[in-house]
Amino acid sequence: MKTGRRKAAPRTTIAVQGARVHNLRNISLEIPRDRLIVVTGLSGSGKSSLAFDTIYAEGQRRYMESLSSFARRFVTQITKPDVDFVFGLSPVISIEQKTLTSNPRSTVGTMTDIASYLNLLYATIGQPHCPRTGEATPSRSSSQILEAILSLPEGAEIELHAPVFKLYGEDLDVVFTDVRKKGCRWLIVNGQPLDISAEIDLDESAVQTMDAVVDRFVVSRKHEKAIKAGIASTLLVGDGLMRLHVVKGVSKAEAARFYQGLCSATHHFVYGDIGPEYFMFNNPESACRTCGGLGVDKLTHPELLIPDPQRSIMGGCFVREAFKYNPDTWDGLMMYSLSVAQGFPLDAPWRDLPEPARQAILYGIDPKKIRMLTPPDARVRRDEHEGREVSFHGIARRIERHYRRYRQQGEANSRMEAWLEKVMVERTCPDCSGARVRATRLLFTVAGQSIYELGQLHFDELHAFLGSLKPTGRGADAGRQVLKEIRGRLELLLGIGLDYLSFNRRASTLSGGESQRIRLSTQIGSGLMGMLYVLDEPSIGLHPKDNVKMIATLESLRDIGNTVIVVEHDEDTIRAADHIVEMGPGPGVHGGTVVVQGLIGDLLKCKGSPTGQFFSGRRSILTPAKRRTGNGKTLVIRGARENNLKSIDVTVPLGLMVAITGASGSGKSTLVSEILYKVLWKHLVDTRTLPGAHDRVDGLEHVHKVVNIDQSPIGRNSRSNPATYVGFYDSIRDLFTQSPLAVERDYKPGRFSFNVKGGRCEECQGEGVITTQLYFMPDVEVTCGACKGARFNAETLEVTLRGKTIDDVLNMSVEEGVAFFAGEPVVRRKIQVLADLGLGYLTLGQSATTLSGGEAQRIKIATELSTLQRSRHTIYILDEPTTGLHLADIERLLESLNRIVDAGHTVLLIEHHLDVIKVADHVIDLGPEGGHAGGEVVVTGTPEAVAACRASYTGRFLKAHLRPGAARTA
Amino acid sequence: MVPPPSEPTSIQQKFIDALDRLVDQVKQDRSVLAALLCGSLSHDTVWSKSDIDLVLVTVDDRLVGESDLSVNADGVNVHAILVPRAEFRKMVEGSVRHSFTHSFLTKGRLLYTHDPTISTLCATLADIGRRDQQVQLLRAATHVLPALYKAHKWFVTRADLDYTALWILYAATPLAQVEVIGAGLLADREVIPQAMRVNPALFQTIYVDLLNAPKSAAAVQAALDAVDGYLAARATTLFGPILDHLREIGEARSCRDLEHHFRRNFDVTGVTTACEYLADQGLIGKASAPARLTKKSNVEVQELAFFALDPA
Repeated sequence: MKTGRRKAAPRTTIAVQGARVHNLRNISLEIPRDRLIVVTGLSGSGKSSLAFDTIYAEGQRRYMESLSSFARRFVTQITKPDVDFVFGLSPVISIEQKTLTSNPRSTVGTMTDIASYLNLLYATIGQPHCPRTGEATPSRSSSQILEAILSLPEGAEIELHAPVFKLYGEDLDVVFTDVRKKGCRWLIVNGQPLDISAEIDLDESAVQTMDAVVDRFVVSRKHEKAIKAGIASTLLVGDGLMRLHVVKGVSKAEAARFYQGLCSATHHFVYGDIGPEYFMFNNPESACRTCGGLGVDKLTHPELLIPDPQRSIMGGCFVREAFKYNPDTWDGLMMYSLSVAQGFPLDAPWRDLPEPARQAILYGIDPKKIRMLTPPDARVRRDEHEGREVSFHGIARRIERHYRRYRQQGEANSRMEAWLEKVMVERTCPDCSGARVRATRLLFTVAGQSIYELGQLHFDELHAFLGSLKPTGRGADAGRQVLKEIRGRLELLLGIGLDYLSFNRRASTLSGGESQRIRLSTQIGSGLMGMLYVLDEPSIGLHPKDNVKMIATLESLRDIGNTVIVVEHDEDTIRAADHIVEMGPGPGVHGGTVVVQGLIGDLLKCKGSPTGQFFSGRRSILTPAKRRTGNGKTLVIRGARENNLKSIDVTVPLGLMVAITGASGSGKSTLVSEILYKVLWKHLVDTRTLPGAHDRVDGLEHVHKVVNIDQSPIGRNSRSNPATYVGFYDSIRDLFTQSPLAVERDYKPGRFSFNVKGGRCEECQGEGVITTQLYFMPDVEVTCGACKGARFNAETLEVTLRGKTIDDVLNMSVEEGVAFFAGEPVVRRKIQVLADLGLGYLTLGQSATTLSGGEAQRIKIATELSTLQRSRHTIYILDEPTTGLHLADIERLLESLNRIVDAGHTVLLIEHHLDVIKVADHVIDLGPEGGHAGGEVVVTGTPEAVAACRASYTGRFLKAHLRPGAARTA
Repeated sequence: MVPPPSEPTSIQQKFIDALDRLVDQVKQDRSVLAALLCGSLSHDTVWSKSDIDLVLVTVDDRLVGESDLSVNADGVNVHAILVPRAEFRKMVEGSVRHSFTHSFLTKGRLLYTHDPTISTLCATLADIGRRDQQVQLLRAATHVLPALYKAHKWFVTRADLDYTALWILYAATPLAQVEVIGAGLLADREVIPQAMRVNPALFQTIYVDLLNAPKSAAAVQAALDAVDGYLAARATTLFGPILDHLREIGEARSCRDLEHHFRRNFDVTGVTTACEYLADQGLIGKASAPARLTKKSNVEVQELAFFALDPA
């Protein structure tokens, strides 16, 4: 008889009840599980508050709660979001747009874990080679080596040698001391025995080969364990490589057979116990000894050492940390002596010094010597040394020596290196040539390619390369499995348009979008199902041609049984969604409700939906009827060749809105951010800036200022806000000091600052909240009991301006601020700009930490707009300003950018958004593809000209977006 | 009161008998490859409070690690030092000559071995290489200097003969190492008696006289002069590696640079003191190099630096 209870049907939806996070207005909604859901809406409408701060945060919090209190000690606790309940949650993973790390050891390979598989591939099927002849050399386990040795006739004597190598830039003494510490006293140098405890008379340059004699045995089964330990010691000294030498007790034929079966032909080398960690550059035992696995080294750069060549040595042309002329110091004495010896004046500008003198100052005069002379203005005389001769190796060399010392002492991250960084530039490590690992690791090849060479291949090339491999012999079965795993993961990366990346690429050089897509591919690769993924604008940074691949990836994530929630503005992604939730209708206080949810049809039909209005064609960003022609002046970048740029010449017309377009990885950011921006910054602001490789830039004289408007926060703590950033808070404070009570009490502007003592609440130190740290639970923030969140003390709050306290003013929305300060033109004008940019919903004192990237960017634009100067031509550079923006927001953004251009300035945009590109006056399209196949100028001209170019991918997509003859609306 | 002399011969014999019986026992242990008698019994006189230092070379096995064991052998305390063969080989080959480990092993006596390579290894212990000798001379001479400076200071500033003498006596041990190593002999832990045989005149002045005779200003001054003269006469040899290095690079090097170089290249520390001595002797020049006191310092100070002197 069946007695079991009926099984409940699995839940098919995620239900959110009573969400009140940020501006959400106690909303409740239900969204389907196992579907692709897009949450859209204007910037600040509450999309992220719903997807990340409610659904993701609650899922994460519940997971954390399931951990033991011991485990919770090691993770940051998450505060419970302000929501009644969320039903139907799965384990949740968020994939945000963050460049994950600035750690120079992180690469695309390590991020994707494929580096580990590559290491495994080389450990299994890599073909090792002899470090001396390059001939094939076997790789065996230590047990195999032991068995081979024991197969020799009993009584035979065998010596175990470990090859040792010179260290880059070091004396042989360092090697000898190191080998000695490892317990070896004898070396075979160039075939001759050398006792390193004895006097060593060696010409270091003549040393070709060195082997440490690690142990010697009489072959016998009873010495098996000793031989085994000897092999382990030898492999330790030889860094995975050893050499066998049969001393006596074996016939020539037997010895030959022994060598043939176990070792390389000429030098009798064998690799032992090679595992994946042997190839890992993050393993200190495998990392290049010079760069420690970073692949780069540092070198001083004259332009960084001498920021102002118009100054003289006496006048302080060097950066302070490098050299400061003082006649009483040894450095001063040396510099004076050098100037006398070389015949250059110390008071002449650096740029006027003859080249040999500059070289001598920076890089020394070796092997010549300088005759020491006390400077005439010295108070300290060194008569005892007067006239003696000493060497001088130069200021640059000294800094490099310090740098090497810090590195060797393992202080690579010290603050001391921070100042060294000011005067040094990265160069490829001269020891490993960028490979990050020791040279012996590169002696392993798969189909002729070392692990470094493989990591340099672009994913599409690598995929093809690995596809052609047919592992045979040792480790073939395991190798096939590893290959399958790598190719599978590569296919995922190729599937999301990252074919131009390579495994060796540093993670810190990836854009936020690229990082996000890599994480996405890793998640798909994990094959998990039943998960809830929350993604933030995965289409960012993608050319429309790659966007299709991205959508397919999201669909495959769904199809393997996951719920995918995407915060997105991209039309194609929204149309591909199974379910759409639009938040709004407006931003901030005007949003926070669900405008519409359902299928795309529901969205299109909804009259109150800004997204629906744009998608249905009821509203659009129109193509301008007439393009601007600019001021006739140009900036011409010549011979741009940084990264993948193919020595191109690019002309940027001034006084226009110029869009730089092209496929992902085509070289847009390199051209604009690495070359043009840095050239302008160097020319206008800081001569120590080092632009990317190029010949020259013509027309710099036409530009007076350059501004990079990115989406980075306007401040890093809660004390920064729009009022302080745009700069009208000072004026507001002045207004408060003019109020009768403030005058009576003699309050100064500082009284109305929450950053300094005096007027602020000292209980919370002007924060408004008090944070309490709990041990097993998240930090708790409670409103300050003294000021009730007002941030100022009672005396300060007694002062009012037209009935409003300073706290009331900071809590005013921008819209309210415009009305309140209508009679104060200076303040009103600046607040008005914020309102014009669609930021009317922000409060004047809103903490910088609560602003989105898009909002931060618009506040920066507002700051610029409020200080526009027609007489000084400014170039504004914006890298993908549409990130996080709805079409309605883009409309406002374009409006403000047009105001800048109309004021006679130049706006340079790196952009994929076709609605922005079509509004630009001039387009520079790079490509045609990403990576190696990019870096060329495909076409330049008006959007219409680009649309007419068949070779341009941008042109093909742009064609559909252009509607000639329409009036400018943006 | 001086204790009555014991009967060394009978004690020695007791120790030898106890050791023989223990070694006969240990020989049967298949995990022990060799026994090396070290310490007093191997090369010196034992007394009733002595123990026997016995290095037992064990098989290389992960279950047999390095360890110590106090064994009671017929009432004699035997300090058994168990070292796997691979580690023993590293000790023999890797220990810098004249170091304590080296001296300890070299003065030992191999009692038996089941592995002929161990006897070959032990046979090499007596070879003392010139590089090791040079490094150990530098190390020992560098250790003399701080005590010598202190002795001078107390003599000049306070005329405190007792305390000056004590500092000279502190310097006597490293000075004895210099003397013994310099003579090509193996420096023992108890090195002063060795040195007294090699250079009795010096150690009479700086050691015996200071210990036994009433401390007069003349005797202390004579001891100080003797040490000064001894070092000055040998400075170019004892501190040769420093002079060579400075000569090779030619330009001035800061103390930190020099310390770093000698630590990496020779595993020797404290060369700054040696450089100051050489500068005082007029063998090298004093210079300075810009430096900052802390990683956060915003002012620059001048760090002591040194350079090789070429003839003016």
